[in-house]
Amino acid sequence: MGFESLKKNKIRDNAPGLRKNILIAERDWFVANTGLKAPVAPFTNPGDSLRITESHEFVEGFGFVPFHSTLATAELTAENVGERESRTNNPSLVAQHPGLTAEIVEFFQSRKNGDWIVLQQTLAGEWIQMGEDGLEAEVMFSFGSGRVDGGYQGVTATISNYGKPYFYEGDIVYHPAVVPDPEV
Amino acid sequence: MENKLKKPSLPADVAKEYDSIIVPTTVMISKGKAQGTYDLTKISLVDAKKLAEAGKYLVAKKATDKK
Repeated sequence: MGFESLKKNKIRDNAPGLRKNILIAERDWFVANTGLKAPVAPFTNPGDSLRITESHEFVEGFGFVPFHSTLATAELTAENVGERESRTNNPSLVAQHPGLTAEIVEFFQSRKNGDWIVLQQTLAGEWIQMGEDGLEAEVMFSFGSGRVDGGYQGVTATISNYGKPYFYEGDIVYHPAVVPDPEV
Repeated sequence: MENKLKKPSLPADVAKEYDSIIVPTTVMISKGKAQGTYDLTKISLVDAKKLAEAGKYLVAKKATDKK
């Protein structure tokens, strides 16, 4: 691996922002020890140390849970934290989900104490992963009603962790949806 | 509380030919000939064959297992 240069990419459109679907899965839902994949050495090309090329594997009956974010509200940022010569990243994703109902508040309320692996997609199609083994992400939320004359009624989710953002290139399995049983 | 929910399943015609190695759900396959998004609860026989041949989530039943 080498970085002789880091030139401007004139081909990439580089549109800013994130797509609407954010995917979350709890650490315990992955197959123990081997289910949560990570970059695999040797790292031949620049960027390989952050690329996850294998597919995550879940315990039967589990998968990524998508939640919708209002377009143009989701933003991923990452700052350096720590002290000189001892720093890491603190990625943070803020996104808004519309509505203030029992189902929506329960969705976020029941997830606030979990350890999460989170995927979000750029407009160019890359899936960026927050969270890794031992450095999982936290899902926090706040909500607001808006005002009669304006504003936004809904939940603002804030997802943060410590460590590197990864670029996930494997398959994505969604959490299976249970369906009504007509025989009961 | 009365249980009124059941696990999702493959479409009947697909279930005669293939077994799912995961609880049927939506899968997004990122690479290879089977690249794309599939809802295994609504998948067609054509797409099921494509996934099975790519070794992704579906496996063809043995002739003796088919009902």
